Amino acid sequence: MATQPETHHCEPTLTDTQMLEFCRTGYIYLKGVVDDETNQRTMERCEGDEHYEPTGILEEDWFIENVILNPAAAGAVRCLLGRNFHLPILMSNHRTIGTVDGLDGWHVDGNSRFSPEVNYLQVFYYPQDTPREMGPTEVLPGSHVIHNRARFMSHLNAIRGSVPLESPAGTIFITDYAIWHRRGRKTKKDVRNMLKYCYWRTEPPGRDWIVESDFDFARADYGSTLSPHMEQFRTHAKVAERFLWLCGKHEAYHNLGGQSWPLPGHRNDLPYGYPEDLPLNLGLSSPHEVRMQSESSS
Amino acid sequence: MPIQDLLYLHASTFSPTSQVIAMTLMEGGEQQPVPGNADEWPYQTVLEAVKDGWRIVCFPEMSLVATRDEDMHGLGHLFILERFE
Repeated sequence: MATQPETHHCEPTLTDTQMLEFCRTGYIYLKGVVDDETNQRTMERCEGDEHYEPTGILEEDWFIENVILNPAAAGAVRCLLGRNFHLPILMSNHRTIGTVDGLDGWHVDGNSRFSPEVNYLQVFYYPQDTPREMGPTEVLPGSHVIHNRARFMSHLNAIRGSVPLESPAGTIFITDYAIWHRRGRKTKKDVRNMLKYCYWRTEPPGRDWIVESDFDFARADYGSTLSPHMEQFRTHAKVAERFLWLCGKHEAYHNLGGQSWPLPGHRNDLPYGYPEDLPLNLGLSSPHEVRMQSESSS
Repeated sequence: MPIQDLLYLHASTFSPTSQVIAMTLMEGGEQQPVPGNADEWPYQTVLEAVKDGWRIVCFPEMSLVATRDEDMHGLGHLFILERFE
């Protein structure tokens, strides 16, 4: 049994656009990133340890290397939690035997601390193919910026916009801890294993992921798929605040009301209230200029 | 003795004409499946359910709009309806 590291540092893999997408949806889906041999070993390990917390798997070098430090997953975690993020210390297996009606079960995991800060992540790993009939986790994209408590959600069944994360073996998805989710309807009796674990931040946030030279903070879309169902533009403000926090610019965040940044709009200039501490991308046309050019050329 | 059927509809606003964004149906004393595709739900608004014989027994809780202005709580506005069949 080897002594495993507590923290990890690696190269970032996400771009500005992908980071903002995480802030908008609350999750990142990494399809089939773990190799078949590791998936198979994990399945065998799960068959030999049916405890709901098979934490011993975190002492296996092959599991640490290929799952916990999987390059795609760890690279994304590195972007979201910064350098030297803390590795998981507990493993849960949401092992499901038999069928599940999937009529309820929406929740936010316990000890979620609602905040614009992203200091810990909840990660799901499917070591086996998990199509719809195997009851993949269902998430509500954008729900991580909406306050709720699990016991106030217990009556919920179908939610417009929810997504069952059907996955091939080796898929990892990384979520904001506060995202609303549930175990989906499972119609096959086969055993489903799904491993779930957490990473934590140890260093202050900063925009040290893959910076896109043409990323435009002023005109980026901060809306979420839940925006149409919420008080208008509230989700834009929440998403923008989260993104700036991740950039290490939380002190620059403000919302001056009305048609100011970070609302979308067909403006003639930089959005009113655009934070001075954010980069300017002066080479880009304003939405108004783009529209005028489009109309004059047609 | 007829059993009370229950329909939980989360509407996007306080208006019963606004779009339903979440639905739970309990009929015959049991929770019933609702299609995953929202376009296939039996009711797209609370008013459609009312026209189909459901009676509203619980209107959305006004206190939910009295929280901090920038906060968002819960999913839409919950109407609970009943029907005896």
